[in-house]
Amino acid sequence: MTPELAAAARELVVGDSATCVAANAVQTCEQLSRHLAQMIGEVGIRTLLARSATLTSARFSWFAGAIPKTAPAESPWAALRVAMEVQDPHTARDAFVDLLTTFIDLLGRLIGDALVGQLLHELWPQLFPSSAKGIP
Amino acid sequence: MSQRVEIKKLPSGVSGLDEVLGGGIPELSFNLIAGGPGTGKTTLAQQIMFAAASPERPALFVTILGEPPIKMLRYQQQFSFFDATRVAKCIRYLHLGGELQTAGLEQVLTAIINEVEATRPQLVFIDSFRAVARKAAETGQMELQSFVQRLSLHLTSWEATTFLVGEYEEAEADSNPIFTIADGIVWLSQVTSRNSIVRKVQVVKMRGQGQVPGLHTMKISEAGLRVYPRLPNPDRPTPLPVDHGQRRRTGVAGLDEMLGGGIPSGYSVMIVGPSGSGKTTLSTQFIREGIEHGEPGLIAVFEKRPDEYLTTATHSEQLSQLVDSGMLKMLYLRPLDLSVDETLEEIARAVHAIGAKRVAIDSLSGFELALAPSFRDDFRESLYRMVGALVRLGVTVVMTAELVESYTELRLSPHGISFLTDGIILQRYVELDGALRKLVCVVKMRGFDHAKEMKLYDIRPDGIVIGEALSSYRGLLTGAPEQTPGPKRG
Repeated sequence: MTPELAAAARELVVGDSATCVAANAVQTCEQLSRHLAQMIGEVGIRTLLARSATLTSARFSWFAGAIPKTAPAESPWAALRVAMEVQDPHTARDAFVDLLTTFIDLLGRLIGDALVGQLLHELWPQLFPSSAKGIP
Repeated sequence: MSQRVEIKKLPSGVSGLDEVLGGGIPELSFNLIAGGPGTGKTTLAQQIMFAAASPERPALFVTILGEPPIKMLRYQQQFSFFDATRVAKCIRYLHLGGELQTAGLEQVLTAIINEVEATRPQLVFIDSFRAVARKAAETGQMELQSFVQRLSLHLTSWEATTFLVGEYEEAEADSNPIFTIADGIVWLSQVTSRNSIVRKVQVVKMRGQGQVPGLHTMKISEAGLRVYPRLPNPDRPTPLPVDHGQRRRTGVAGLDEMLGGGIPSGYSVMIVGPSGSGKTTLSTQFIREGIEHGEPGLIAVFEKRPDEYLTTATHSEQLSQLVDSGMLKMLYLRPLDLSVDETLEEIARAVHAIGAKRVAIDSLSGFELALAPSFRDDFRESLYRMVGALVRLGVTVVMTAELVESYTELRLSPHGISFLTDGIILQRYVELDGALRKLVCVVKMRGFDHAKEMKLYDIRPDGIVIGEALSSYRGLLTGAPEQTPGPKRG
């Protein structure tokens, strides 16, 4: 994950308040999940995000359990929203960018950076303007 | 108005498979890729997809349970045909495992149809279709039949060529409706014999075109699948070369005399003899003689590496120069799980590469050992097919074969293969006046007259030199002859 990509990822979760950052984070997760689930399934994407949240909790301990492996269908991101809303906006934002970059790295280790870049270019052309991950 | 519809054929992207399919994959056909676990079904589907997909012919790969998509993508991209830059452009992946688990067949069918109508793929792959069949089994076979028929109809009406990928047992072929509805069935299997695994592919049916029947050997490498069509192809006999029957000199003057001018062009000749009798020397002389007259040659070796082979050969330096000049090709085939078709393809490719007119196979024992055990079990058939196909390439072939000296009986080959070749040259040790001598005779040269006597020969630094005929002995083939009454030899 390049610093440029991390900086671009920060733009996905801008907000003056933790509530606003959390809302953008949930929206980002929904977009990401919807996009990738087409290809790797809802269970697949959820499992990878849960693992990424566990890794992120090593740096942001409050993130532990923010994305459980299974979640109620009607509110799959409720725990994430709750966990983020009680943080200050900067910390919430840093943690979510950490989650996102961890997820992208994890996915890259599994299916290769080239394919990750190719897939996420459709969703976030500003983050992945070319087909290769990390070359904004 | 009786113009027939033209069925276009798509390239499979798998070397050798288009020939087996009868030209390629019929456009708009509804196909099943079936076989046991680990036989290469998903790899075949992906390889076809990456070969046939283009911006004008987009592809959709639907995964339904079976191998998790993320793992499939991880492993499939290890193959060189997988091009990540085409994913999400002309190749789309769609996972419907959730739909099958939570809803059912109807929901899966709707999702596939919606996606096809939205993205209009011309190639659709469904992997694994077995998961669909299992779901159907919960509700009864009729639903599966109805599902497959509707799927086939929808995808054909949307002008898509379809492949269902699934794990099936051969016993299911009679009862499973998919086998009836499918236009084409490609069956993959693997046979384990001792420590060797041989992969096979069979095109069980391919409506509208003539596939090559039978089981064909297949290999999976970093490049993907590769099929070695079973040869000879009975439907397409290749005419014999126009110079068939003309003589090819062996480079051994006395032997050419015995042969009536040389080995007839396009013939396969076995040089049989015990260890150290000069079989390799004679075969390399035959190749060298051809090269001196402008006929490139090929030597296929199995036991020794080419450099080792050349170092120990008579005229080794000259042979090395011929290799450098491109007139001589050394082909080394050592793996212990070769199929006869694979061997033949390697030889055929080398023959075409240098325009070879003469081929030496040194030796048949090495060739047998290099074959996978399942082919060794029927070595006669393997050799029969290979010899037939080789001479149809328009080359003249010599093959060396080890003769086990029993001194009491003559067996020209350990497998009873001598009848497969057009000619046999026999080398033999014989004890004469307390010395071990070598003699040679032409046992057969189909359709041509040849000398019947046995002649002594020596192997000298410049090659084999034929000596006098041994006409005053009897029992030469026993190795311990007796002199017949008459003028004493020498």
